[in-house]
Amino acid sequence: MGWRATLAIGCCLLLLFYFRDHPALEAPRQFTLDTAAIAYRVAAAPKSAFIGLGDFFQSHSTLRSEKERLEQENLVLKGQTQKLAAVLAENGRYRALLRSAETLEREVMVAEIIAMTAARSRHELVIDKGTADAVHVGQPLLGADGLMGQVVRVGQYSSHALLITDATHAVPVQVLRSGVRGLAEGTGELNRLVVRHIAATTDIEEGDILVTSGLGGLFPAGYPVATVKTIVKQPGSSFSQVMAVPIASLDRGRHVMLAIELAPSGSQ
Amino acid sequence: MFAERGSWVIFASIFVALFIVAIPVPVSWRGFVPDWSLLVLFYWVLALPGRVGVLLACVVGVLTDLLDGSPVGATAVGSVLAVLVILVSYQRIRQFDGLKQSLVMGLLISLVHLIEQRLETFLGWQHVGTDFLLPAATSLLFWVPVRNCLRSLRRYYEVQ
Repeated sequence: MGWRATLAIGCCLLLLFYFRDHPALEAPRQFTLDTAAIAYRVAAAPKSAFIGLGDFFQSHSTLRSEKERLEQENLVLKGQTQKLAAVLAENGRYRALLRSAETLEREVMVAEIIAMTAARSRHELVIDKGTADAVHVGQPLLGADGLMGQVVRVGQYSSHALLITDATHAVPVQVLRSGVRGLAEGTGELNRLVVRHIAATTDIEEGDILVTSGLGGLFPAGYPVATVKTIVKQPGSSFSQVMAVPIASLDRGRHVMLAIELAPSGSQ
Repeated sequence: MFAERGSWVIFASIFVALFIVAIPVPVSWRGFVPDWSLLVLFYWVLALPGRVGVLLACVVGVLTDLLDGSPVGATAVGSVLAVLVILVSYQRIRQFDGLKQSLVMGLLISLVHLIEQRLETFLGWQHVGTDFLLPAATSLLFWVPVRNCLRSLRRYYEVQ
């Protein structure tokens, strides 16, 4: 009993501390990630089937009103896109005037959320795209409304993404209104971020929108991240405590987008 | 242990437990999901200490880690140690009534999570508060039903 236990614990510790990021184990790591994704899919199958059944038996009138709503939304979005095109063109001209070195163009790839991992202390999503679709570690994950997180582990046909609210995650942000920079860190709660390094005298207000600043080079600049909820200024402290709420709905929806970095373009 | 009578019952019950762990639950319930795989493992060790031991504990721990995305091995170390505790004192634990047994299982599961949390902190994970001990509390409530259910399975299939 004694030697078996020692052997087992020894193996676990080796796995933990020596082989955790060892390149020799990349293939088994990808394989187990994909297997776990299949397990999650099978476990979620009854729930998905139930939702699918509900969709199937939706009444005609519900579908009609849904269609009408989507048509209207489409019209509004089309109008906004027209404006966007004009703004983009204008932006390009300004960039040319400023002789800006290069801009990065981004495209997105849609992925489906398979599950949220069972580990309670971590905010991780399992998504259905992997190296087979050129997903790589560090790729930004976007929701319909804003930034959701980044890819941390990839298998061949699935990958894990860390959400911005995870206690180990931080994203460089900037206040949209004033341009003040800060670091939005996760707290381990799904509806709360802490913004660090904001001096007490900084121009930041409740309701301000925080966008990615692009510093650090991982996240593209300009994606909405969070809305400032409370600012506590303690007398005597040189920094204020800023709490923010993520804009993307992290616990809803079935699809996410992965930002794909294209080759630098528009260098003028 | 593979060739012995009814081994498949042990493996099947552990696989079912792992699947139950993977079933999606609303985000606000996540902290309260009991550790089904550990409960099932502890039952088999308690019932058949000569047959189920630390090696299976290690395998179950590694599978749990793979499933929930923790660093592989963190839960396994804890589960091996907890199973060692059961192996040393199974005769005593078997004499306890349901309440006492549940408390022992709750303690063992919190031991597993404490070790997991320590190891993960070494590796740079950050845990907030003591929420990671909540599953131990809910597992404790489910020990008696799990035990009774597995006991009738064991008797029906005559796993010895």
